[in-house]
Amino acid sequence: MIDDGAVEPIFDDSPEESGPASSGATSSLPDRSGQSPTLEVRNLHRFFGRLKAVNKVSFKAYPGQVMGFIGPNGAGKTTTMRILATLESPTAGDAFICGDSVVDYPDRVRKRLGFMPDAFGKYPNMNVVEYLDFFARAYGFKGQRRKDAIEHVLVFTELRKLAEKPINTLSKGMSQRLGLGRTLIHDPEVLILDEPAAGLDPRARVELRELIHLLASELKKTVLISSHILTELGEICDSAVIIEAGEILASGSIKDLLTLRRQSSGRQSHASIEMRLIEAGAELEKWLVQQPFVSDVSISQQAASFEFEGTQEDQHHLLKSLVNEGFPVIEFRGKVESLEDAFMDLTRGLTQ
Amino acid sequence: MSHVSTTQFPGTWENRIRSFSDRFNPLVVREIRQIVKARSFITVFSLLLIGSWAFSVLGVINQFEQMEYTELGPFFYRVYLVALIGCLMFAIPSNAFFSMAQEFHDRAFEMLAVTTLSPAKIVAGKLQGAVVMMFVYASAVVPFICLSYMLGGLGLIEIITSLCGLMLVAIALTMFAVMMGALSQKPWMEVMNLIILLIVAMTTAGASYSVLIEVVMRSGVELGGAIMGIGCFAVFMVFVALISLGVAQAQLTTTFLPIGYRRNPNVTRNFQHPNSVPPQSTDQQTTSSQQEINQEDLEL
Repeated sequence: MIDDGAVEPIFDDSPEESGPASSGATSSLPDRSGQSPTLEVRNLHRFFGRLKAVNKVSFKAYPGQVMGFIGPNGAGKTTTMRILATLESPTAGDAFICGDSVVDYPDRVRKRLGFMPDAFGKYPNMNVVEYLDFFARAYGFKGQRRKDAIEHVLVFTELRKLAEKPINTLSKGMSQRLGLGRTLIHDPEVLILDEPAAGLDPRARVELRELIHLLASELKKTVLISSHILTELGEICDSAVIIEAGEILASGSIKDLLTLRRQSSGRQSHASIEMRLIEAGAELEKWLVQQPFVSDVSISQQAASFEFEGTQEDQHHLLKSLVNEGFPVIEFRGKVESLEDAFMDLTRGLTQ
Repeated sequence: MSHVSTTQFPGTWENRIRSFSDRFNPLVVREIRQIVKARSFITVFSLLLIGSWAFSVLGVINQFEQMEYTELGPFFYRVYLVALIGCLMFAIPSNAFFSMAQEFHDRAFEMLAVTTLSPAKIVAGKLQGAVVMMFVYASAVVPFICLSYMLGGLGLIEIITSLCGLMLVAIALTMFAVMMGALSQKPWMEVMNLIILLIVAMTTAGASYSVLIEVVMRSGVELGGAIMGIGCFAVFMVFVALISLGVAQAQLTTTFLPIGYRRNPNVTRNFQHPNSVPPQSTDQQTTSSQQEINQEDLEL
């Protein structure tokens, strides 16, 4: 599996940027004083011939942090994750798990890292316990220690009842739980989860989300998680890295990313307001357009929506004026900005 | 996640068996667990046992009157050996092939590769699992081979020589099957490699039968000759097995660094010897590299 054609790569020599949240080729998350990062990607490149699958990617993650790794298909997420999991070598740059380089010490990295790919093959003629037992053995666990590790994972993933069930007959949700259990069997400090919620029903998704939350908050694991379901990620992650066409577009805490979104669209304090009325008409539209901070007014039969750039005080005054003017308002709410909004605004829909 | 310590029972049989299995390669344990539950193994093993038993009973009844005057051992032994060749040279190598190839289905190998098992251990585990199964098959036939020895016309040296030779060939063939399995990372490669494996297995089985039956059984061997023959044969087989092991191991290694790897790509690389390049030439070179970058970006 020697490199395929990247004989003499050419690299850009742009300096690294830093800040609370940054957009651009390279970026870093806020440093946590006194804490060293458990996961650090440093100027990572991976070229497949002339295709730059990963280009100048740098970021850090700390213990207890759940970091979303988001981007469209073909953005370079899986390649980056595979390099971190020592399944692939970088063309240039390096990555570190708990201070160990994935290039120089892949064996050490594997002991401290749990990787869950988006799809994983199930061995035939094996039940849940045998499957976990095999991976515990593969990580060098012996005797009572192995038994304890398996028991702990069965309890944590709530697979105790299915311990003797053949793994081929498990549902998708249960398989994902088993996959997570396998990832946790050697008690790694860093978890890399590639599309863990793909194909799961809503209940299984919520359960998986709770497990991941527990891993980070209670057990202080560093979790790097990629998913296309951004509403889910927004609820699990405390920070995110947005990648497109192999390059990082933005990274930082979710709050910082939303601030960056506002800055990039030139709005400092911005909200999308939605209203429901008993009856909405041209008179309302005419009135709204004349109000300060209001733009992009859209009116339908019983609803209206507009962009509002004022403060919360200003919103309060607007609502008060609406009622005083006699408009039959029955609902007035600001649409909450989400990670999805930031993603849509920051990415350009580029594919490689 | 801290692991909870539970009560230990050091004296129990369960713990003794568990601590004994700790000495094995994890893949051996997994392979054996999987194989003994597999329908293919149950079918082949049952056929071998029932077939050998039926042949022995019917053969003895049929030849009962000639027993006093004819040495029937070689006739019976030949049939058992053919049955064993079928198991050791077809069932086990094909199982090893599919077991290795299956690791690449649905990215199962990635889960194995991120553990602390080295590629050498993975390949060795597959081989060791197959060898254990060889002994299981051989042990099923041993009582019948004893019967053929008791029927006369067969020397102990001939039996041991032919069985050892068969085992060596089967191990080398299994190693080759593991290598072909490791090279089957795409469905079309799996089909092609399986065909190659079957051709090699059939050729090897035919050659082994000729050598073991025609040369060893008919000509007969002495102890020195047997040791010498097996020794030479073993050296050749070890050579074949080592090449296969090396190829399979290389195929399973995920961490080969690409040619031209640079840990710090921000440092400009000097492609020519510093003494032979005047300073202004270096600037020109940087400019041309930059132009190359821009050109590449435009093409992408």
